[in-house]
Amino acid sequence: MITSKASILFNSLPTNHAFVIRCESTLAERMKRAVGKGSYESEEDQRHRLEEQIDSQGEQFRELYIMPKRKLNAQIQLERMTGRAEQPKYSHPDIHDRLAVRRPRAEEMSPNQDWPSVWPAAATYRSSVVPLLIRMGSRKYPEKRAPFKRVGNLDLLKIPNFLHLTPEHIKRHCEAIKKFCSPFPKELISDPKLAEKLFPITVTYSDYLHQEISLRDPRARTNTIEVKLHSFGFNEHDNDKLRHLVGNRYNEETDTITIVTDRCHTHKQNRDYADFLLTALYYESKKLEPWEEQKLRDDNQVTF
Amino acid sequence: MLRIPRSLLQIRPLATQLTQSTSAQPKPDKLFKKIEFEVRGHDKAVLKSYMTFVQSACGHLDINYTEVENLPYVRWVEWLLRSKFVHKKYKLHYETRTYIKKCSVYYITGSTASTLVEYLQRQVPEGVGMKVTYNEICAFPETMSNK
Repeated sequence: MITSKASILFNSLPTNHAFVIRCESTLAERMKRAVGKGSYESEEDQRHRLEEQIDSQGEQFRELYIMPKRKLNAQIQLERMTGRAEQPKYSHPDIHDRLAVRRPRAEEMSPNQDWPSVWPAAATYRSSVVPLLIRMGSRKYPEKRAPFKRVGNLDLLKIPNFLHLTPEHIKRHCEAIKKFCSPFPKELISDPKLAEKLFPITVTYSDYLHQEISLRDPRARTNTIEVKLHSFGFNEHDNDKLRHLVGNRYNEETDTITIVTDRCHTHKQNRDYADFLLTALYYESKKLEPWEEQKLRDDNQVTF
Repeated sequence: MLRIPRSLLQIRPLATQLTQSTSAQPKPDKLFKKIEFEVRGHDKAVLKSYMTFVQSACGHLDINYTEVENLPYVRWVEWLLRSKFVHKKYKLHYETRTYIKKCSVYYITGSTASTLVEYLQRQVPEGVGMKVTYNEICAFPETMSNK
């Protein structure tokens, strides 16, 4: 009897309003209830319950309390676990800070923008600035799961990028430094004999660039000089004497004397030393010593 | 703005300029037959990108260049025991590869060479080492001039 009356009550209410009243209550209504003004049921319903639902003896209907008119903890937990929980809408206290953060710059970039002004110098990769859609990461089955996305990707940060050396960058840099370059004399390229006559010596030296503790590299002090024997303009005797002095530094097939100097500390010193050696060899081979007449046929360096 | 009368504003040349103009003569530019760039690094892709940059820069500055030459990598290998104690049969194998690439540039003057080399060396990426070999052609030293 009572249950049927309860069901009539519930059915009379529009769309199970009583069930959802507590779950969807706003802050204002809650505060009213706390003060004592509002209630869980509307004014109309309250009036109907107290005044119109009167039995034959004039007593109000006293509702049987079976279960509270709210979702119990167990039901809420079940809903959460299955993913059907209603999320309460809280207003964020940091709403202004959240509104102040803009979308990443890359979303507002147009494809025709001037990239060299966006990325002028070498810098670490920033996903909010680079609009390229790239992925990087190691996956066991890349065809099933794509490599990791660009936002928050450590691998993209670690690898040195060349975003500051795009073709447009290189073009602009070269335009700027072109004025410091000078053209090579064309006559020397077209006529190698002329180059040999005017510049007979070839000096070879190296520079090293690395990230070691010290700036200096001991390998950088070696200096090599190569000269062709015929560029001295010697006669037979001087030629022979020079070959005696130089020893196995002379290569008969290429007619080149190679002198490697690295006994001094700096490269400049080694170069000056090589120049000194060359000068000394030149003048020594020109001299005619009195004991040279005692030369035997076996002493000949040049084979006839 | 303070206005200074022109008579007081004397334009005096710098001391260094005076000495340079009287004593030093401008030295003739050096001539290089060939300059070779060799880059070494652990990442092949980075070296490849750098070499494309080098060739592009040479192209823009009208400099003759050769193709990029790939040399075989230099390998450093070390094995370490996998376990703290005993089990010599089980080891961990560590290997480092240093990839090498070469590129040459022909017939350039000293000023072009210094600008090009400085520009390229400034843009060398992290973890990459570079060796520049110059082949300079020059005349006999001045001490031999009185032939």
